[in-house]
Order: sequence, then C-alpha cells, then structure tokens
Amino acid sequence: MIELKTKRGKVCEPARQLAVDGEYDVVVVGGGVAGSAAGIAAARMGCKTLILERESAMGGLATLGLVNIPLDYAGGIGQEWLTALEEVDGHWHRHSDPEKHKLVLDRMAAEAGCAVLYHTMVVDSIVHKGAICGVVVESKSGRQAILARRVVDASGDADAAAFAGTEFAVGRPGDGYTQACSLEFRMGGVDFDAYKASDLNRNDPKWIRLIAQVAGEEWAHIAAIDNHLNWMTHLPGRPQHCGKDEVSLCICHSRRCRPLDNRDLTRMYIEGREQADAMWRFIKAKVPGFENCWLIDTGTLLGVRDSRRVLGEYVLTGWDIACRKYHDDVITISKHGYDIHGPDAVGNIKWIEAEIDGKTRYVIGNAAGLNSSQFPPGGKDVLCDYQGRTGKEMNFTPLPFYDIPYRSLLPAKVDNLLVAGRCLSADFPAQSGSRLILACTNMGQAAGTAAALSLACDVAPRKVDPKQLQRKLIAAGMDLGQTTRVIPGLEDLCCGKG
Amino acid sequence: MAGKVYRIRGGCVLCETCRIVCPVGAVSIDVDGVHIDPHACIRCGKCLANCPGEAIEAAEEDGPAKEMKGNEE
Repeated sequence: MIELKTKRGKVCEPARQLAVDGEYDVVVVGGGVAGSAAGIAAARMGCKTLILERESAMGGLATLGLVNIPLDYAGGIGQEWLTALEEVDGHWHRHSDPEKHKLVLDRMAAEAGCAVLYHTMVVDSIVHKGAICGVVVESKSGRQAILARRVVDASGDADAAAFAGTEFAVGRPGDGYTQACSLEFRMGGVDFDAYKASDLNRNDPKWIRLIAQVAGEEWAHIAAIDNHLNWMTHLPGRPQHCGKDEVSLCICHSRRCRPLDNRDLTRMYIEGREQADAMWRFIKAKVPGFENCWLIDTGTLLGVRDSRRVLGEYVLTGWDIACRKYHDDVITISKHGYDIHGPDAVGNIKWIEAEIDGKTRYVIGNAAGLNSSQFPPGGKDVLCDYQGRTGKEMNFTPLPFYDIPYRSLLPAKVDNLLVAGRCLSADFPAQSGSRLILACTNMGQAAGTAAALSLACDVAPRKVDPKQLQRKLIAAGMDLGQTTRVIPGLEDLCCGKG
Repeated sequence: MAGKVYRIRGGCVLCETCRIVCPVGAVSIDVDGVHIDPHACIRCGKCLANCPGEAIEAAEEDGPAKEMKGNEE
C-alpha cells in the first residue's frame, strides 16, 4: 500500500528496499525460443541459471502465439526439441504441436538443471558501474530483486536492455512503425487432404488470386486484412487425414503498430480477434476442404515481429544479407531474406532499396524475395541481386545463407549483458530476415553459451574469444555453415572450401 | 539414378526449407522456382519430410527427370 501523494499530477512512490529472491550466474529474461535455449545452454555448462517468463509457458510465439512453424536452420537445442517433438508425434513437415512443445521445453530445462519462474515480469534492471548485475521482477510474490553475474535479454522487446540504458532503435526509419503484428488462429474440422489436393493449394497456395477476386465483393474486408496467406500448418499428432484436422493460420495483421505501447497492444489483440472471426467465416465459404470447419482459438500471445533493436557492437544490415557477408565471429546462420510484413499496407516486402552504381535499385536477399506481395515501382521485373542483375541473370551464390555475428548480441554500452532473438542488433530490413523461430533459438543458444563461457574465463562477454565460443557451439551441434565454407580459425572443423 | 525422383508438385511458397535441409546441396532456387538436381539428389527424403507445404513428392520414374519447377504465385 502506498499513501496517495501527488506531485505535478503524478503519484509519488516512496523509495523502498527489495528482498533479493536469489543470486544466479545467469539470468535469462524471457522464456521464448531464444530464452529457453539460452537458459538450457548456460545451465548445461554448469551455471546456476534462471529463466524469467511473464507468461505461463516457455516457447513464446512458437507455443503461446501458435506460430507452430519452426523454420530456418535447425541445429543444437533447436534440433533437440524438434527430435523430442518427433518422438511424441508433435512434429510433422516443420509443423510443431504448440502444446507438446511447452512440455518438451519444460522437460529440457529441468533436465539441464535450469530454474524457471512463470508469471514473473521484469520491470527494471539493476546496474553497477556500467554493468548489469540483476533485474527487478514483479509477480504474485510481489516486487523482488534477482541478482545475476550475467543477464541474457531474450524478452523480444529488449526490456531489460532498455531498462539498463542501452541504446536501441524501434521500427522503420522515419515513422517508427514496426512490421504488422499478427494474431494467429486455429481452425478445426478441416479436411486437410481435400485442401492439399485442391486446385487452390496447387496453383494459388498463398491465396493471392483468391483474395484479389473477392476484394470487390462482400468479402472486401478480408482483402483489407492482407492480400495473401502467409502460412498454414497442420497440427501434428491430432486426428490426421480424417476430415477433422486442425490447422493454424497466419493471415491476420494489425498495421501502424506501436508494440511498446500498452494501449496499442490492446488494440491489436481486439482487432486480431475480430479479424480471425471474419477470416474463418471467409475461409469456410471459399476454401476447399474447409466446408465444415470452425474456429478453435486465437493465440494468447500477439505475434509482434519487431520492436526494440538494441544498438550492439555490430549492427547487422540489410546489405549484409544482400551480399551474404561473412563474419569471422559468426554464431549462427540464417537463410531468410527480408520479410517485412507491410507496416501500413497489405502485403510483404522482401526487397530493399539500395544504390548500385549511382542508381536506385530494388535488391532481394535471395530468390525467395521474388515471393514479395508488395512490389517496388516497376514490379517484380525490377528486383535484382546485390550486383544489380535481374531475371535469370540473378545469382545468389556462393553462400545460400548469411552470418549473424556474435557482436550483434552484445549491446555497445552495458557490460555483462547479451541479447538474443528478435531484439538483436540489426537494422530494420536485416531484423526482418533474422527473426524466425529457429534463428531466435540459435541466437539464444549462442548467447547462453557465451554467458557461461565468459564466467568460466572470468572475462566480460565482449571479451569472450569468438573462436572458443564457436567451438563450443559446433560441439553442441550447431550449424555455423562450417560444412560449406571455411571459418577463419576453425579450419580443422570445416570441410568446405573457402 | 533410376527409381524415385523428388520433384515439386505444387503448393511451393519458396520458404527454402528444402535447401536448408538438403545434405548434398541438390536444391537450388532461381527465378523459375525450386529445382532439385536429380543427379545430385541422394533420395534421403529430408526435403520431403520437412517441406511445410508438402510441396515435394517422390515419384516413381525411370530415366531422365522432368524439369522441376516451384510454383510461382
């Protein structure tokens, strides 16, 4: 209880002492796919580790957000949970079961000896002489302090990093709008086989023509939500191929988003549920195989694709992705090019504007960039690779992937702090590519491993030897692209040609 | 290699998972879509098992494979 006392219209909260709930080697803020991997990795290396999760389960968007499509490079802990899901019939064609995934992550954390606290929200960071040394949390147990020798911020929104005073950017340059946010939803009673066999799936799998056709009809409100289906996944392990299948869909979008604003977040949940309600009726009416379907639920966690991007020792850029820049301190690789869900208009932008030989060009990161649904002036034909080549001349060799460097996980200003997941240090287009479920998992494993290594070597995280870190990651099963190219200093582990 | 060939049967959205999981680099993607090189392919089935769109099929086919195209939208 505080006594009501106001000053210039604000309520005064008296200073108070906080009980210290615990002291840990590594505290991980956020238990999504990045945070859970970070916690498991650090605990396996012998660190007393705690994951702080504000929701009721780990996995973040992969579980509570119904984003049950783990794409990008699977290795290390990401591969482990995929395998664990397979063993319980919870993985099929890169579709994962969100419920089984929660259980798998609970068990993996327990086996690693990693402590977890649910319904615990980080509300401040504790900093001493430029280094983070703990966080303040609020939960049913009240407001408490938790001390840590290293903190990994995997909160998605970089909350702990921001509280600690790191610099960051939000949204696209100019108006600061982030990518569109999506509330995913599930439908039951679907004849998945009939849908898969349909001409719609075969010829228009992203429903672009379907939605364009109905845009002028009674379903015009559908076309205003988005101009294509982003993805649809089957729920593995459920009654399958029996006409009663369950699917998860990503098509709803809120635009002009401010995901760090509580009122706007609330707007997006309400809007997302309205969109899902409209969308499932449309799908039932128009999509083969969905004639007898129903809406099961919407995600309990909104799909926020980006918010704060921490300013780190290195800022991964869109151009790095375009030209597949090598980084000697690579900690994971990704193949996903730009994928900007229109901040203020329907469609996805999979290209960047860049100057090549003094001319403005529209560059894609790989051939999947042709899959845009919002094109620059001149349309698809003007899209080019980083050397300005168009059409069949485009060439994305030699590497099919790009590197995420260790320095992108290291905030420039605050010591003993690492970030992992979608809040990495990157510019707006680069972040749009490096935010997939497994990319975040991989970053988490790297950050947790680096935190543990920095403690073992008694150095600040930014002084960790990247080669030592990379050797740990490869030994833990991670894919740094070592089989297809030579990483300097790791020649003995690489079998590719440089 | 005679026998089964892996090919795109429609439903491809260019997510590139096949290229990621292919252990021999047999998958390429260009302006025409996804291509699986029948000479490099070792029929391990990883692309088929991991394709989120179930867009890859293993077809019984002897002799030279047909050109395999991804589905352009």
